[in-house]
Amino acid sequence: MTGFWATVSALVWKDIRAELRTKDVVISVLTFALLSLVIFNFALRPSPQVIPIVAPGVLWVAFTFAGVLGLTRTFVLEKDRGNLEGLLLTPTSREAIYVGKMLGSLVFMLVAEVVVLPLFAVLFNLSPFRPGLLLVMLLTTIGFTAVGTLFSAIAINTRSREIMLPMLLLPLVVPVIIAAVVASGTALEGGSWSEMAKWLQLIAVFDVLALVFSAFAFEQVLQE
Amino acid sequence: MKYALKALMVVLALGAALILGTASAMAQELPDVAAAPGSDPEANLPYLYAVYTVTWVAFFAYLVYLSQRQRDLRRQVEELRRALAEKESQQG
Amino acid sequence: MSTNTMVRNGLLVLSGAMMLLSLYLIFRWVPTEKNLGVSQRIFYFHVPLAWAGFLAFFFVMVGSVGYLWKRTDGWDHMAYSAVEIGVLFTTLMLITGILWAKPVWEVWWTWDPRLTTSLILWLIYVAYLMLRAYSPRGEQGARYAAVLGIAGFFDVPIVYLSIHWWRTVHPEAVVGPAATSNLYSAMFITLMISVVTFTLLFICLLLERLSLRRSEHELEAARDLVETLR
Repeated sequence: MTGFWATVSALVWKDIRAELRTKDVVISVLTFALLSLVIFNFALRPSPQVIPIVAPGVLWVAFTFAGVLGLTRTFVLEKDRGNLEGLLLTPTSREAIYVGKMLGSLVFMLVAEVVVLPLFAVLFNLSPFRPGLLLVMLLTTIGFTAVGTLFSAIAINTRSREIMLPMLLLPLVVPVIIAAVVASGTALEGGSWSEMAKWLQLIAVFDVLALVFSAFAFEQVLQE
Repeated sequence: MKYALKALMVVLALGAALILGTASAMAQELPDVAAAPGSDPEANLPYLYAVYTVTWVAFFAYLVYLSQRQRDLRRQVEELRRALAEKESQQG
Repeated sequence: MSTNTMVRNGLLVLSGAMMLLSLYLIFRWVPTEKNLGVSQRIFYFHVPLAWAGFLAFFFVMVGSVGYLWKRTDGWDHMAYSAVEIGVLFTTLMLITGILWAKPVWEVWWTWDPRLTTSLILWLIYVAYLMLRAYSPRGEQGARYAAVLGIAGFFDVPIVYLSIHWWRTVHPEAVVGPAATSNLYSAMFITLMISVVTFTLLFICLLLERLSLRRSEHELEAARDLVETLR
């Protein structure tokens, strides 16, 4: 067991170090999310009354599409450098590779989200620093990257991989996105924990199922 | 192939058992909504025609697609056979 | 004639006869529903199409699990063939649903839980077909597809639950099916016959598609063999 986590942390550190050098993934996720917030503002022209209604949706659309972009970027880099093939030649367990990759993507996405959030608050005149919202972001991003890591490993080996990942991933993560939108809406309005409890539970259950299934399925995907 | 057939049988049996349950559950949920009382019962006939047409055109189109693939397959088998015969005559 | 072809022909004849029977029942026999008028007869197409679509995706899940477990091509053939037919049936289900919603609810589409879930179900299996088309040929592509076939099937109930909760948050938007109206027994019989008919049709199509898929697979193998001999 210690061997497993040692491998995982080594993998995550390797990804983070590479990312610190190039800042490829975080920068692209960040700019994309920010741009979509701006575009949405033009598209919806929200008046102060409707902002609380549309803001959570806008936030999660931005995060979702930016997340897809980030996952594609991560795996394309991996593929181009031939890292994954090299890793598969070593006797590393497939679950460790999965958890490592997933945690790496999770960290990058969360960093980008934490930077976008204050900008979102300024642009939409909201006060987003509510613990509920942060918890929703954490849980949703876990579920999203859990499924996303599995399906980027699939999409990367197909033709037209840029379109394949969203095609595969978005219909599957519909439940967490819905839950995230509703729960963040409640959190932004200053709702209580008990109002959010149902949605947080839904996301948490999805996270657990997604992690368990993906860890098993990842092995099937990576077999050569 | 044997496996697939066996599995098919098992699933069929399961499916048959499920049919009654699910379909009757669905039947329970018949929409019971507006449509002004006293309106002409045949006012919506065009929609019924549309449903009927779309369904059968779609099935027909799918069958055409299947038979096209079948023809394509036969052509490829023929090509392969010819290629093999040619090779044999060259060698022999 | 092998037993396989005999079974297939028998099923074909049977489903043809059932088709005629259910057409008679739907258009001549069953009484017209009082509130909804003739458009209610769409129901006898719509529900069986939905049922056959779900049955198809159940087959996909079974085939996918079987393939990942046993790694024999038969399972994969079953999953792949069932997806194609399932997408055909769900496409028709969505179209007939839209054509029914217009006269009854006076809108083409509402974001009601069942409609929305059906749409997402459809999207998942369209993605499956795209994945098959774009992924590498042979065993690797089959593995990828099997993962999606399983994930998609078990995701659908969660999707339904989330949309159901979401819709009850905004009750003003609920236009969809709600009440429990009793079906007359004539209507129930017609529906059942129609469900059985479409199930038979589904099985016939599946067997046809399966044998085609098998032949294609054999041909591929034969061609690879010829290539290596060359």
